[in-house]
Amino acid sequence: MRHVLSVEHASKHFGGVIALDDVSFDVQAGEVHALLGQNGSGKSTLIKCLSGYHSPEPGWRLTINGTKIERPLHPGEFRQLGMSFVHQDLGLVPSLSITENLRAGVIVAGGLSRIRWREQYRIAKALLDEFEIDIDPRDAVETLRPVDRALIALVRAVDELRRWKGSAGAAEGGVLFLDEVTAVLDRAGKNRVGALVRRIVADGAGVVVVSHDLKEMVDVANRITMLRDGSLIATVDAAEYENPSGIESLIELMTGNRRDNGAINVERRATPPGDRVVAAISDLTGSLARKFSAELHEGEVLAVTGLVGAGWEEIPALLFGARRAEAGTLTLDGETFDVARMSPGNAISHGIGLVPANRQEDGVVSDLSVRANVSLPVLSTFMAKGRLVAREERARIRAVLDGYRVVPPDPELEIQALSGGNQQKAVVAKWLNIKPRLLLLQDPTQGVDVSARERIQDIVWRAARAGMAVLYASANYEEVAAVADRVIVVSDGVITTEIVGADITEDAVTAACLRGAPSGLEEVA
Amino acid sequence: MTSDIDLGGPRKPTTRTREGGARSHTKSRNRANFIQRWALLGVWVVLIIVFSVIEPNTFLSMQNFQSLLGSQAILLLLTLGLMVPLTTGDFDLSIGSVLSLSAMVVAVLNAQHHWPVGLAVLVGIAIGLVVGLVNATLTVALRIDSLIATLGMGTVAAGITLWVSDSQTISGVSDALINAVVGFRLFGIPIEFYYGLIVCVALWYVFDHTSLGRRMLFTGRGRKVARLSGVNVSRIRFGALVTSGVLASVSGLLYAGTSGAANPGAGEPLLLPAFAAVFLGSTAISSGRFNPWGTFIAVYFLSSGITGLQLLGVSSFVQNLFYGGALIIAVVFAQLARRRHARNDED
Ligand SMILES: Nc1ncnc2c1ncn2[C@@H]1O[C@H](COP(=O)(O)OP(=O)(O)O)[C@@H](O)[C@H]1O
Ligand SMILES: [Mg+2]
Repeated sequence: MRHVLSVEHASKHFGGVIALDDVSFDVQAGEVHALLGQNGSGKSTLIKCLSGYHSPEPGWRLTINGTKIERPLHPGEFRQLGMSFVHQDLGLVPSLSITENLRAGVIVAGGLSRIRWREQYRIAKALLDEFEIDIDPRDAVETLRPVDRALIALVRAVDELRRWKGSAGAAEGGVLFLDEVTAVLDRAGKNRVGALVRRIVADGAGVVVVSHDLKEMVDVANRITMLRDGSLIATVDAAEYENPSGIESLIELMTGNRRDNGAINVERRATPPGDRVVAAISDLTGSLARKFSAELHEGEVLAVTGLVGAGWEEIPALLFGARRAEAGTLTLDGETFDVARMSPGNAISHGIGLVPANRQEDGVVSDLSVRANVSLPVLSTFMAKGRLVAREERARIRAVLDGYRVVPPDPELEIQALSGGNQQKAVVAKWLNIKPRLLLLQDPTQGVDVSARERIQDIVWRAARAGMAVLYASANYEEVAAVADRVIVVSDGVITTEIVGADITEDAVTAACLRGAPSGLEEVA
Repeated sequence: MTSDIDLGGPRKPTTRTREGGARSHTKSRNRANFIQRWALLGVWVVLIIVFSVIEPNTFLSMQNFQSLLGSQAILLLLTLGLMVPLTTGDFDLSIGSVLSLSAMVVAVLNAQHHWPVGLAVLVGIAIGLVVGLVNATLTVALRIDSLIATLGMGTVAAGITLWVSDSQTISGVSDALINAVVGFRLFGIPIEFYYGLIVCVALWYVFDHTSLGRRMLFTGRGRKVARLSGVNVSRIRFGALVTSGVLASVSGLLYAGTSGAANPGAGEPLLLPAFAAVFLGSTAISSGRFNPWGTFIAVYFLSSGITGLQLLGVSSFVQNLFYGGALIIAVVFAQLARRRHARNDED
């Protein structure tokens, strides 16, 4: 078979970090090639070298649709070479119609010449028909379900490759890269996209896919290239893994079967949490999570995790009323609430706090003072005789900042003057300061430097042991292993695995997330 | 939309680490802040001195000052009202028309239909309340952009004004109202000035010294953060739009009382000056925030400038130049200040 893409000796260093170390692989015409590896293994870096976003180290060689290149690509050059990229955000304009999105390249290139809308609609319709997508091309993209948006983004990329083929006079070829495009789709959606990918390669193109969903990859790919810590581990035939133990073997290949990182949390686990149930979640259902039930004990840190898009990430927001739940109840110290009718104000008044994932949008107002940001949920406690007692507020907040080692502990600074890590410490302090019975955290260390990350984990852990219950949602498995007393893994919206105590290691968590549906480990009913 | 919150997951790295820095800047930043706080007041004083030197007989006269303070109370009250929804993050473009409508309704009911003036005044205020409620319902409950909702309601109010007045100026408003607005003087300044002052003090108290004021600030600056911190942002936005409607109608009463008549086009020309003054005011005192005392200074700074220029014989187009220019300059200043802060935070 002929290859449409071949990469040899690709390396990429970021300062002292070797993100990609002498990786070579190739893609055949008509092949779906999966690129696999844990978070940070270099998959995206490799793809970005091919799109011209990163310059690889000298010494690489790229052969693409017959053209040999030994220099870094210019940005945008990939189009002339017959490559097309779809990233997780899809790059669609939600408020515009499907036609406008699909035909954006042609429409924009037209300059002042009249756009023949009827013809554009016809072309768009023909494209959708060809790939059996039953949607009106006049609909706005924002009205589509996530799976249909992904399909539209794919169809657009295919159409671009065809136009390249036309102008280059090539009979076959073209390479399409899909980087975690299906992450937020459910199983049915992934299958639908997989079916489209198989059709795309039917006329001689190659597709490179990145996904953490191993089942999906084994189903859709012809070959699999595995990366670990920036290095090439192996390129294997996917067919060899289409058996019951195949997924386990892939997990082993991916993690390298390291078994030495179980000791992170030993000191912490020496003091076990209490037995009393503080909070009980029952049959919580949101837009992804289905019938999630769990009990949280006094002093316990319960982590919920899984692959991105599996449904675990919405659980804190649902419980807090920041996102509308379809159904579910929360029992807090014997009092039961309907989660579908929860609101943030309600949640706070019952002693629930939420540290949100996106600090810039949801966590802080960056040009207001640290004091104002931290005191907002407890403002009423500083009111006396109809007046906000500023002196008391300032003193109290300064004490809080000192207590949680926020640097500098100056309550009057605009919060944006603090480093990201210290801003996040201030956000955690804000919520601990309401003295919650149940603290919910959503990816609390995102975009935070390493030392602040450890500090935050420590703060959370100590606060838990002081008597509250903590629900910690994160996709960082290392962090989950470091902080949790118990880990619940969610796949495709339902709980598949529960890991307790000394069994919690980064690899065990990673494996449970990748494995998805239970096989081997105990199932939680 | 089912979600008000970002669930996290992978995104481009946003890690920004920066320790030090903050402190070394504090000193120069403190000085810059001081200058910015008091600059507008300083410029106002300089302006008064300059006009007093050029026009010692007219501009410097006590009478001129007293009448300036009194006559601008209408604009002051209108502007203070506008400041409230701007603080909570919504526009109110209907205030000018509400002023006209409430003044006109009072004049028509009182002068033409001989209603008791007290009752006419209540109806005038009720009109501001109703327009405010409709604005708030459209904006908060139906989630229509406040710019569009209040533009529409303002135009409706203007239409009603023309309808009830038959496009005529209606005079003959009861002396009782005139007396209540300009009949008394305290230190030689008409009583209406003190109405504006009282509202200014009340707003200052709420903004700076109550938790409601803080919640309003967060609602305007970071609606999602406020909501996730338990603030009932809908109720706060609702209340703010109702407040601006009511204060606009009260300034309509001042208008009717000051001139003893109502003119169907009285309020609309005050819309831009109100915006100019609020934004200019936000560059002073509590720099970077809409605030009552900054607004107070801005209203009188702008009107002193115009009065002075008119005394010099400059024709009336200067008013447009002055207010329009002030609005643009104020917004540019605010933007530059913000950028200066942002730059300080990156190095
Ligand atoms: N722009 C960058 N600057 C510095 N380090 C980077 C950059 N992009 C990626 N890295 C590092 O390179 C490694 C590989 O990352 P990436 O290719 O994104 O992994 P993957 O896509 O497999 O999760 C990681 O250690 C990451 O921290
Ligand atoms: Mg990646």
